[in-house]
Amino acid sequence: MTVMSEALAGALDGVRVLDLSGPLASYGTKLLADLGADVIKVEPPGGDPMRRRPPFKDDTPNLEGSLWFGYYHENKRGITLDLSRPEAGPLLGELAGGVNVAVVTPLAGSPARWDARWREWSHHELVVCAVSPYGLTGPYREARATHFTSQAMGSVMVSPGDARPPLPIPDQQVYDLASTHAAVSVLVALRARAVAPGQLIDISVHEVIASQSHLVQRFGLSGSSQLQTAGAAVPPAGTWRCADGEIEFQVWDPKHWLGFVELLGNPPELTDPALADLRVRRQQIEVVRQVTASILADRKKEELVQRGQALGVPCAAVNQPREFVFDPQTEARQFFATNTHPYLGRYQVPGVFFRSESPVAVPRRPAPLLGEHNRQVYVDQLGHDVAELEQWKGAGLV
Amino acid sequence: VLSFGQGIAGNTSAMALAELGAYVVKIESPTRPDNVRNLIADHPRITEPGGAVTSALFGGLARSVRSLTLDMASERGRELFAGLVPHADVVLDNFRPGVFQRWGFTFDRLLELNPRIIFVSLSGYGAGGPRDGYLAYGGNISSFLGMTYLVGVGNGGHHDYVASAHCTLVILAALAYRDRTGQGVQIDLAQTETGACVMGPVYLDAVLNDRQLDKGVGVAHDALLADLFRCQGPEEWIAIELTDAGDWTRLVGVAGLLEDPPAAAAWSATDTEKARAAIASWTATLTRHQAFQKLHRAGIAAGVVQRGEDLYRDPQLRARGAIVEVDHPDIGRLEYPAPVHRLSATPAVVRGHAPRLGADTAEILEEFLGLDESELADLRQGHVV
Repeated sequence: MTVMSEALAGALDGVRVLDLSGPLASYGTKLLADLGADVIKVEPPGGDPMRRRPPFKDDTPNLEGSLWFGYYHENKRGITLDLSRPEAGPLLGELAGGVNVAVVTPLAGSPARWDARWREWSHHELVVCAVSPYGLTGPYREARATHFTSQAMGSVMVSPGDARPPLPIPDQQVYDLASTHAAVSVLVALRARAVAPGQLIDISVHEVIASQSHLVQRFGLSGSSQLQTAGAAVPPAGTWRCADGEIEFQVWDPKHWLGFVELLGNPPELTDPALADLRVRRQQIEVVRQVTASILADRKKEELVQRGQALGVPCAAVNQPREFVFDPQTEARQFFATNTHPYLGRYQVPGVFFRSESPVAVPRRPAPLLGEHNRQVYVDQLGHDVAELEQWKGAGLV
Repeated sequence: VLSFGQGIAGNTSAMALAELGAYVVKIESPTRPDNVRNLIADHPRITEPGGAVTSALFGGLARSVRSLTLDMASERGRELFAGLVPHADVVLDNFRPGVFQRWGFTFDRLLELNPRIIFVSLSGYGAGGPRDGYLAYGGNISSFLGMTYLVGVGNGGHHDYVASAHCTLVILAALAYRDRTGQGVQIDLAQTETGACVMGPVYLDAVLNDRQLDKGVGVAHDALLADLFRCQGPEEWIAIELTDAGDWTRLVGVAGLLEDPPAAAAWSATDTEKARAAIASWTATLTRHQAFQKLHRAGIAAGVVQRGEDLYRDPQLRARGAIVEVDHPDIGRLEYPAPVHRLSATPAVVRGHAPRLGADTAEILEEFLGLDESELADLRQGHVV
């Protein structure tokens, strides 16, 4: 029991999590770890598949060099166990017996050996959180999906508004969103332990994505069945070339428009007050486009952003990712943290997602090396002896 | 929860808390209510009996919460708010940084009123720094982070929902912290930073490897081939991803593609291009749902680029009850996506329709501040509520 007056090491200090998940939930368990939970990531003895995912440091493939694995496993501990082997059963049971939460990502085609096990855990004071492409029930529960195909089914891709296909969101951001909801659900289950000591949480990536467009209600209202389209914006909403890059505006409200016209230096073609109305402007798209393009072409983006914001125009530079990293705002808020990893070295990494004076989150610790905490967990925590561990290693079980 | 959540991120975060069981009071100005009420798409103007405007969008973003009107610009309004703080666990501030403080509600002041208060401020760029207070729609966040550059267009909604989920999470984390220490917590949440946290590998590659990233990178890192293919009909697409050569063999079996599939171990860029062309000519002969069913049965990862009607009829969503009907007295009966937090014992559920403006003002002020009818009438008279 934690003494009240002592500072906690994170909001979830004392919560123990068994992380049996793949990419669908690697971010969710990282969030739990960032908040102070002791997260034990279980990998096959040959290494988690994410360790083989490029890019690598210096573009050199190495089990410790994947930037993906390095990022998504910060603050976790790591052990190995070959779950494809029946002998893993007793050890898995011991691991589950020592935690409050287990996170799993059952996928179509993966061995179903342990499914009954973790379902059983949820009846015994364990919070079991399953994140899957479609959910644990329903006609598509066994269907295969990837981050890319899930975005199609859930309709989060945005059509550019021309003949090109809709554009997907890169990396695994949509999985990360789903597993943020998984982390939310885990915290709710932990709060509810007095009424429900164990629970099974069923997060469907498909549902998370489908719930964030307004397409269902729009169809119900009007039968409109469009894709989400970027090209439908009325100028000057959208991106524009300027002297040293690109700038993007979101101009919807009449007061945004008035600020925008002033930003352009009140060109006579745009001073008609009627143009503040989106519907009027829609009839004058070509004029607005030509005048805007020709004036912005000679201006610099940072000067435009600063002046535009002062005039009440929502705008931003179209940054390359590294420009965000070194932006004065990012630096002033010290968003990037420094981490030190035996293989990756010292590097800058996105820090915790919020700022607080209270130690709600914990400082960065690097991702575990392959099997780094085997001894700590199997010997020191579970009480096996070193010889046993060596024997398992020899047999390829860990 | 006393919520000033607006737009998509602030509203949906408060709604999630309400559907997970919190007592959430959405506070709006009686004269300038939440602008989401004015965002009308696909329906005529809807006016509540009290004269306020509402919209189907608002109906989907502000379910399950209670509505209190309060003019925070007036001294009396701020007094009433100060009276409610001791009864609250969480204050969610979604104004530009500094607005709440100018009303006198610094974190220190809130702590005086309630030493156990959790004060969360959600803004575009966070408090402090040269871009403090910048206006930020989701599209602007996308541009600032480098996503517009990478993808080619902004996907503002994505960044709103990412911020919303993180906001809900940090509120629950702060509650856990507070419950164990007894201490109030202040949280400063920047929508930009929540978005950046789900882009970790992009920034590591840009900085650690000093990489100049190309547009369109990173769609499918583990794949042999991942692309959208045109099906029958205008603007009909299916997403197909082949993880390995085994997938290609399966696809050849379903579609009768190339007679001479490349050897599993020796895929080259030319093979990928040949495969892409062969798949495209196959999908062009099918409707998108036909292609999906064939691929699904063969165990290949695929997804229809679903439109509104597809989602509305989606058998998976329907089978799981992932679309719920909400009956609103002014909007009518309309179906919305259901809450996603499926806990076996304490699931998120819709607790009620989005409130009419100020629907719960009298009840809340009576219950928590003991105001009577005549005092309420005075407040209404003075447009304080």
